[in-house]
Amino acid sequence: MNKSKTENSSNLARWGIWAGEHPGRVFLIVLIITVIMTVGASMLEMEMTFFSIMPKNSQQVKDLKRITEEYPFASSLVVVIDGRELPAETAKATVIAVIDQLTEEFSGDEYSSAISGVYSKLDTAFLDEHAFLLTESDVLDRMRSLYADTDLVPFLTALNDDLEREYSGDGDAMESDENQIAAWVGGIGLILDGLADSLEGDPPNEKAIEAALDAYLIGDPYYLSRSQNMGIMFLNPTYTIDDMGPLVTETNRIEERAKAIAAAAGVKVGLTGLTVVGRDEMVTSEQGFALSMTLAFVLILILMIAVFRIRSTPLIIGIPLMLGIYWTAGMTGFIIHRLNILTTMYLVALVGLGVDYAIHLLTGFVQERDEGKSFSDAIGGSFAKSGRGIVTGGLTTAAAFYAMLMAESDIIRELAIVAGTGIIAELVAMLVIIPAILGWRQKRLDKKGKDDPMLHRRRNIRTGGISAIGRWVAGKPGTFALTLLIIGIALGTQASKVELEDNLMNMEAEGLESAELQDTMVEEFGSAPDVMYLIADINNLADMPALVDALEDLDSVRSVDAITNWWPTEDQRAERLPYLRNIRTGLETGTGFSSENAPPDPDLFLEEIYRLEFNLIEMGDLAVLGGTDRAAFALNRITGLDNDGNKVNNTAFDRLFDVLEAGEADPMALAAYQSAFSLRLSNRIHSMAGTEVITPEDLPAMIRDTFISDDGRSTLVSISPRQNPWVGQFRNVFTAQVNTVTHRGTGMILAADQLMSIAESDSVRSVIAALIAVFLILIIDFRNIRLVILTFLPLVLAFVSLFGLMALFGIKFDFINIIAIPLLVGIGIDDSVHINHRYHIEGRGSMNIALARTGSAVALTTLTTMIGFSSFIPSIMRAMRSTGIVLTMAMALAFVFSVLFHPAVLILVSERLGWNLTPRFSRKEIL
Amino acid sequence: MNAKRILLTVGVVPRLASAVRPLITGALLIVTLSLAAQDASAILNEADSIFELNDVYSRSTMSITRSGRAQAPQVMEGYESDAADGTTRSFTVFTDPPRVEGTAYLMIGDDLWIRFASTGRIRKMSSSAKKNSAAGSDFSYADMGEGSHSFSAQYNAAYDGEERIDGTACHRLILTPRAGERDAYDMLVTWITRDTNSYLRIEYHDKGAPIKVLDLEDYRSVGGIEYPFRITMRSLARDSISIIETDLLEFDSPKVEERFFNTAYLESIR
Repeated sequence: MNKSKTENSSNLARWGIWAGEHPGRVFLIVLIITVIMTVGASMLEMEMTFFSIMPKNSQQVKDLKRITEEYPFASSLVVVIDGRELPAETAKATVIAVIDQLTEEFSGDEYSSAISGVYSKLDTAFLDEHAFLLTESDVLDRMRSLYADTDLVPFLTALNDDLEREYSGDGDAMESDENQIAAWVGGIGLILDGLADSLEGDPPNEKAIEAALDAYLIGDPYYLSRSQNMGIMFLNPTYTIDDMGPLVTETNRIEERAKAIAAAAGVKVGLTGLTVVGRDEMVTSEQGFALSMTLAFVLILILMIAVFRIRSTPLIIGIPLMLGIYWTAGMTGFIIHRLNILTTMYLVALVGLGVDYAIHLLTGFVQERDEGKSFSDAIGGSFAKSGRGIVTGGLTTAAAFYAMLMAESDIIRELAIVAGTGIIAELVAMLVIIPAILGWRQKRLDKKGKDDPMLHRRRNIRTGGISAIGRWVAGKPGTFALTLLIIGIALGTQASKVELEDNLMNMEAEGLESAELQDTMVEEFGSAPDVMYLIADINNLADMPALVDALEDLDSVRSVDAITNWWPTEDQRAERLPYLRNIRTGLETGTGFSSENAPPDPDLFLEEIYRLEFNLIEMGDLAVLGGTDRAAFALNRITGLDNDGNKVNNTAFDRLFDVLEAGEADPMALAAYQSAFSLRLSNRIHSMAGTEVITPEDLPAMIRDTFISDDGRSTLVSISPRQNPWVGQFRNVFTAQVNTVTHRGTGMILAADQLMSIAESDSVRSVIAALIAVFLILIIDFRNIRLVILTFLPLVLAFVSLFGLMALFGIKFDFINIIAIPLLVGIGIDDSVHINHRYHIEGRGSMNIALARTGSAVALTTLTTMIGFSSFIPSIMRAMRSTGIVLTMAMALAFVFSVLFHPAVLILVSERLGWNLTPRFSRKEIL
Repeated sequence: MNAKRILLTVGVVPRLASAVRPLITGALLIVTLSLAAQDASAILNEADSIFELNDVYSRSTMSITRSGRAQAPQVMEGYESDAADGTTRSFTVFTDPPRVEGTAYLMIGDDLWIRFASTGRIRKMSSSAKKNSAAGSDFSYADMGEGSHSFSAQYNAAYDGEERIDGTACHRLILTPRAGERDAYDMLVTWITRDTNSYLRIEYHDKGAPIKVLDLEDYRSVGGIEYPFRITMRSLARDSISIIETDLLEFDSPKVEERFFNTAYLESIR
């Protein structure tokens, strides 16, 4: 056994000496490897969105991916135009002007490569022809009575009767229909204004009547907020969230132009939606990685210079470190073709992990040089003493990482491959390149005839502090073991209180506009951009209306949009046709077409105007009471009341009452208005009650893009939640209720839940697999089951203490940091393993010496690993930040338990209790 | 609208029970618990004893906060009296905000009317309105005014163990609607205090999920009855909370007059 060990060491030593003496040849080998890895790196895709790490085998994720690829509107960029800082009286007009300007801009050729559709307002022409065919039968039944006669008095009577029908008093319904109510009230207001103008002597204004009927029958064509000072428009991109190139460049180009146009008009513009959030994840994560990588490199190299006091340290360590990462990227390109958020984070952490091998090699080399040995002897000695430990340690860590391949999810398996390969790549890079660079450096010094400054260093690497700790622990092992055990257990009692972060938005970068706009849309527009979707077969729509009704009946659902809302099924059409024919027949046979012959009776007209005012006042009472501000605002404006019910403004009602109550109403003026109004209303209703079959080709482009797949085979149902699904526990209610109707729902909400659930279960599986792998390697290494179990103890305590501290500090597990936890098995156990090895060498009673000899390297390697992990902390992306905090804390705890608790326990069991910790089959008892 | 009625659906336990309970030993508690587990209906019936009360006058304030925005508080006076045939009747008049001062709701059994103070007109409300949100609050009209059926009359109870709510030991009962109950929720989970048999929390489930939670706090003794002076309905389906705080409560109150429970009285209000 000792012979074999000597041979292995000799082989490594011979390699070290050869590499040091032939740097040129080694550099050539490195160049060849690097060229090969460049091929691999060229095959890499950077996929930095959360969407890209969703579990690919999940049906919900498959459906979601299909939706983003086949339904253009699902990927739409939601442009939010914000005029809230403008005066109320100009905000709406300015917002609409900006929407029109943006529509024109993005419909142009300049953006044709990026935008396939611009949708900024409702297609009123389609509604003018088909609105009633899209209306439920019970409402159509009311329409028949309402529009049986479009002359003024019959129309107003029917309108009042309709408003006074048995009242449902539904506060929720009023909230849901608030925008429609406000638009409808606005239309009534315009009609009353026209009537008042006529009675005051003006001739009927046909344009004003058309505008009034537009508002009354169709509503506002723009997508405006409740306060009408914000607007939304949609841009269908030619790319999806998966097209990483245009995702950033084209979205940026669109955003910059939109913001410039808005700024010129004095309003703000922001972009949101699935695609924009994906772009932001991509950009912020890349920025985060660049920052973290730079930080990790700089801090570690500064540390190395400070420790080794060699000016060329950045070259000696930095080059192999960088090349190790590059080779890892190349191998990743060959094997899995992509880097995601997690694997890229690991590459940054690899800076802190890979440098450990350099520290061990360089420490050995420097110590040999400190002793005055020649270059070749020093490099050979360093490789002989440190080589086996480094190789064993590296392979142990790599094996622990590869064990994570037992996981079921792609995301953890990818991490296993990148992590394991990264360790091996760094190990190889350090063993190959460091002796070559040192040799090249020596040759340069020899050429210049200079001595190696290392031989004249004023101070050697210091071990005083760690020696003192060693003596302290060795002096009071019971106190240390018991105290740390109690601390670990005490923190462990809190471990179960660690919470899971289930809000994807809380993992994004802080202050991200696209994430904040989601809340704004809920508050101002009453709708959340993150909806739930269903994919259905377009040839089987018969069940769709019942499905929509059932979904709309759920408390947590604000609205359900489906193709059948725009393209009725045959059954729906058959059910509605009789009502439509009745409406048309009523109009054709009623007085609507002969109103000139029937001037309105001013007294009856006055009575109906009174009734209408009462009805609108009562609606206003309910709107104020129910807090439906926009409806209340519209109703107060038309009735002239304030929120307290005080009369504060004169209205069209007052103008009409003045004329009518004074008996000054000219019947001919009323007749003139009626003539213009009734015929137009009649014609509009006649047109809207069209019975023609609607075909997919008749549908507005926005509706087709929203509801019909590119291949025309499937259709989408969109279920809007009542509040932001990312906030609190609402989405549990939302998803549970939707599940009572259908299990086919999908969306970012469900996909994120699945990701969290899989990350949670797979992390446990990966930790177990890594523990088994490490256990087996340690059994082979130590050949003593008691020692192996004792070696795991500090790791276990570090884990439970970590979870306890996370609970105490309110740090949550998310699907990024929880996946990184299995890495800690392979990394966190290292320190204890090093201490075991040295204790074996030094023997019983020499723990203080063992700690003095290993302590500095252990502390330094832990510090560099912590620097690697902590470099994520300044990241603006919160998921990276929390991962940095968790992993840094974990490493600190692992170090504390390894250096203070583990040696104390070894002393207690070996020296006080007399346990035999010597490897089996060893020639002599060491411990 | 009768806010009082929902207050009456919370547990009111005779003082006697409160006085006796401290005497029960730990061992007896276990026996009591075991018996309670066997008869959830008995616990529910005891908590529901409040439904036997009549002629209740209350003055209360309802505050609604939606999406973080507080709405104008609604102050109302409520009168409740069961008819001779057991039909529950309630009459509620708003006194604030000014916009609806004098607006009144009358509920007789399943029938509901509203009288608008601003116009003086009366509107009959659809019977299907009872499950709708009342005045934009998180209470439905049924939550607010329905008292014709106690919980035990509407629901079957099953014992679901004990649980501490904010440190108070409670019986946890699962209530499922009796056959033919149109307006009942799919399920209620109730937490009834073990020592006073008062409702502490009620979770309303509908269509597969909990949709709102009622918390009952600030119990005070009124005429020998423990009464919650603050109840909070938290919607889990929308970002909204409605709080009813009772300012005044009288049982067997002379203020409750028979004439209030008639549509003719609604018409006569000026």
